[in-house]
Order: sequence, then structure tokens, then C-alpha cells
Amino acid sequence: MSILKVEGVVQRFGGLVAVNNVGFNVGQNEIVSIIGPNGAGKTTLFNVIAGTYKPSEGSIIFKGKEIAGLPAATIAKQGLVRTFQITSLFSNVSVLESLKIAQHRTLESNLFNVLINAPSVRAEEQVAEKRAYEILALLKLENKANHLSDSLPYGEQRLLEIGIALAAKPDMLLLDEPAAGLNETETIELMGLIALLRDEGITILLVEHDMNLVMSISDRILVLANGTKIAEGLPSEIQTNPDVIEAYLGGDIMDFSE
Amino acid sequence: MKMNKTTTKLLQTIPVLILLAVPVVVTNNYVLNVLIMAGIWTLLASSLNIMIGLVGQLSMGHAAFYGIGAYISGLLSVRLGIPIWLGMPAAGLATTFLGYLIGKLTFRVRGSAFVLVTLGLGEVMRLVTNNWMSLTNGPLGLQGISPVKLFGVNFTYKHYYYFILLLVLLVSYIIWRIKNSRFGRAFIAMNENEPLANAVAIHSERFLVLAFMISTCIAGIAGSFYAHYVTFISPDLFLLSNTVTIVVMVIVGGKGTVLGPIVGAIIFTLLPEWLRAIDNYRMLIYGLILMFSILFMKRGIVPSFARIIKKKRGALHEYS
Ligand SMILES: Nc1ncnc2c1ncn2[C@@H]1O[C@H](COP(=O)(O)OP(=O)(O)O)[C@@H](O)[C@H]1O
Ligand SMILES: [Mg+2]
Repeated sequence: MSILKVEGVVQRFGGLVAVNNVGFNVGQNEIVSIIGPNGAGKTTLFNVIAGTYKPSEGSIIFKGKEIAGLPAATIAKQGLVRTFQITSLFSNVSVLESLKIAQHRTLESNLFNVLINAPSVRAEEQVAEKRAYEILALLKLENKANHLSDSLPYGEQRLLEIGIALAAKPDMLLLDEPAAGLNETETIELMGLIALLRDEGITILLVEHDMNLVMSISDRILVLANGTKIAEGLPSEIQTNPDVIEAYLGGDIMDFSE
Repeated sequence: MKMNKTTTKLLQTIPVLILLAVPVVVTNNYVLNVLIMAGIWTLLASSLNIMIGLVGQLSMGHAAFYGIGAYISGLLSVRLGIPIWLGMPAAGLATTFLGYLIGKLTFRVRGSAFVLVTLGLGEVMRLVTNNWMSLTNGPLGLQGISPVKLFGVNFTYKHYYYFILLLVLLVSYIIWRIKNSRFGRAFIAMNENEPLANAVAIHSERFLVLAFMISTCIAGIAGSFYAHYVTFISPDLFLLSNTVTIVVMVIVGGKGTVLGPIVGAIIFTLLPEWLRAIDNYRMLIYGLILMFSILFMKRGIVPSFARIIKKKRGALHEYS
């Protein structure tokens, strides 16, 4: 059963067609990766799915409901949560507090109960704090709980971004180049984390340039070039697909042989 | 981050006890009047802080909501004989509703719409109250607003002092509760990084409107208090300089903190009074303090001191 169905999505910026009639499905609990040269339209596609842009054409069905053109927060509320290609954090907020902020989706206390500090609110806050610490443990950032997000080293910032997305208890995660700028050890840890998230039942759509990561972790791979989907298949099929090799040789050269 | 529980409790109760004892020690009406005015400015600065400090939106019409609250309460009193006990809720509800309307209209389009519309509101209200002679008595102002009376007791300075102290404590408590809840976290999230806030299901527009409604409600209540305390109001309430004063109080005191606007309001109410004796240098000293605090305490007085105290704990937090 597919959790996400993308059909005939087009995104134009003036005369430029950044995403051109792209369609694909993502099954429940799959890890699907989108690869393609820089400027292929991967981030734009994410932005369309996550509600940053309203698609010029096409339909996007998430958990059986049309979400194309809905506000980003509404889409997130339904359980589809994205991260950003360029590091995006609550800079002047502590790590712990960031993870509490991100639990907004699952917290329900109303303003009146907050003002009288009702027992239900206190209970909810305790659960939120506990969950924040669980995520910190998962990211191995427990000892940074009270540090400002801004003050973390780059690798930990990228981890925290995933932690923030995770705190929202998503059914599906869109990760935009989570390994960009990470060293080899950090990338391997990240791979472990992504695999773990999938084991916990989260469906993952991943944009990534690191081919080792993509080939080893993905159930299926989608290739975009110039806004068009040029191939889709198992990692082994993609590695030997002549169109894909052609697209990459025409643009960025990528090493598939590793 | 966590202080000893009893220390925290003491730090919270001692200032409150001192504030409660003030009228017992101070019987001079002039001093009490200054303190009452400081209380009114504290309400205004605290409420504006929700916009500037928490959600990060500059409302340039805060004095307008203050003035509207004052005029609603004042007119209800003068024209219909309605006491503050009904006038104040009416003023609060009306400004909340106006906050809702303006928020809905301006936060959808974003950009500078909010700043411009709130800026315009003050000007519009000044024109309306100046020219609608039959209702507001125009530039001559509205006189004869009923002073506060409770259980047959006519309020004296001492009573007004306790009344405004109660309001200040209540508002500070409310803001503190909100700030440490999912609502306050949503406010701060929007201020810090709106796309990321949206990505974790925080609807910016909804929370901006909510923040503005809370903010304008408190300003309206402050206006109502002012009208019944001074018993005379005029279109000068809507002057932009009043809004600017509130903004300065928030920024110098420390935006985003509960204590900052209180400190800012007290400083900028007491200071002009103290400097009255050396009137010639008053504006100079005023300006120097502003410059000093902006140059050396970018975040404002309260966060700068908090920073020094917390430094050795390693943990810092912009909004604590
Ligand atoms: N907001 C925008 N306005 C105009 N052009 C855009 C916008 N966003 C992306 N583009 C263009 O769309 C194309 C695809 O970009 P992008 O989706 O970022 O590619 P990728 O993530 O695959 O590297 C690029 O040519 C880019 O310049
Ligand atoms: Mg990209």
C-alpha cells in the first residue's frame, strides 16, 4: 500500500520548468531515494510535496488525502515532515527546547488549561520532556541538552535537524541531503539512524548525493534530470541504467563503482 | 539551568512582598502616583513584548489599543454611567477583537503590512477622536470619567496602587505561563525560523493572530485602568511617541523575557521624574542611557545580567 502518491506534478518558475510531469509512489515503510545532478529539481519537488510551493499542476495524495497546495503546517500536521537542504535550526534556542518545540503536532493542551497550569498540562509537559530526552539519547546528544543549537558543531547540527523532524512523530520523513558536509564516520552513523527510523515504522523519502549511502540504504531509487524523471528502480538496476549514466556524465560526474 | 527550588521561590516572593508593603511605608501621593503610572507602562511594555520579544513582530500601534481601551471604558462611563468593573472587560474584549481582525488581515499577506497597518491605526484613531466632537468631545478630551469604587469605597492612591499591582502580577503570571507552554514555544519557533516551525506543524498565521489578541487585550485593559484612574482622556493617548516609548521600554529592558519589560517600564517612568529637577539635561541623560544600553547590552538589561550570572553554568537561553 502506498503512503504517498505523486502524479503529474509540474512546477514552473516563470518560464523555467523546475519539475516536469513527475509521478511516483512510495510504499508504507519504504526508503525511496531521489538522485540527480544539481539543479535537477529534487529540492523543488520536496518543496512542492511539503507545501512550500503550490504545484502548477498535478496531484499529491498522502495517506489517501489530496495535499497538493495545502499550507506546509497543515501537511506536517498530517504526518509528513521534511528537513532542509541548508541547515535549518532554531538557532538561539537550546537543543532540548528545540526538541520540545518540534513536538507541537502531538501536544493538545488549550490556552485556558495552560493558564491555570492544569494537571493535564503538567502531564503533557512531562511526556514532552521525556520524549525530548529519548531523542537526545538516540542522537547521542544528551550532554548537549542545554547548549544553544547554534553552538553545536556542524555534524551535530545536522543530527539535531533530524531529531527535530523526529520529535514531530512523522509517518513519513523527507530528508534533503542529510549527509551533505558530513565526514565518513558521521555519514555511517547517519545511515544507521535512518535505518533505525525505518525500523520504527517511518517511511523515508531521501534526496542524497552520497552514492554509497543511497545504494546501500534505498529500497528503490528515482532519478531526476532537468526536472524530469528519467529512471526508477532497484539500486542494482539504477547503477547499470544507461540513461542514468548518461545524465550524470552530462552533468556532475558521479562514481557508481564503489 | 535549574536553580535550587527554595532559592527560586524566594527570588519570586521577596520582590512581591516588598511591592505589597510599599503603600504601608510610602504615604506620599506623588510617589504612589509615579508607581501607579509605572504599573500602567509595565502592562503596556509586557503586552508589547509578546509581539516584539516572542513572535518577533513590530507593532507600531500599541498606544492605539491602549487609547481605544481608554476611550471605550471612558465613554461607557461618561455616556452610560457604566463602572470600570464592566468597562474594563468591555475594553479588553473590544481590543482583543480588533487585534483579531487586524491580525487576520495583515499576517496573511506578511511583509510590512502589519507594521504599516498598526502604525496607521494610531493616526486614524487620533483623527477620529479629535473630530467626532459629539461623541468624544474632540481635542478638549473626555472629562468626568467615574473614579473606581468598590463595595462603597472610593479608591485612593493606595487602592489604585494595589489594583494595578494585581493587574501587573496577573499579566506577568499569564505571560510566564504562556511562554513556558506549547503556545510560547510556537511563538518563539516562528520568531526563530518560520519555515522550520511550519515543517513541524506550527501554523504561523494562527499563532501570530493569537499572540496579537493577547497583546491587544492587555493594552486595552491598561487603557481602561488609565481612564478611570486619571478620569480624563484626550486624543493625545494615540500619539506615536507613546508607542515609541513602549518599544524603547521593551528593547532596553530586554525583549523576550518576562522581567525585561517590567524593568524597562520602571526605568523609563521613574527616570523622567527624577530628572525633572535638572530638566535641562533630562533629554541628554535619557538619550545617553538609550545609547549605552543599545551599544553595550544589545539584548537589553535583564538578559545581559542573566547572561553574566549564568555564564559559569554553561547553559544559555535567549528567552529565559
Ligand atoms: N524559488 C525558485 N524560483 C526560481 N527558480 C527556482 C526556485 N527554486 C528552484 N529554482 C530553480 O529550479 C531548478 C531546480 O532547483 P532545485 O530543485 O534546487 O535542484 P536540486 O535540488 O535538484 O539541486 C534550478 O534551476 C533552480 O534554479
Ligand atoms: Mg537541492
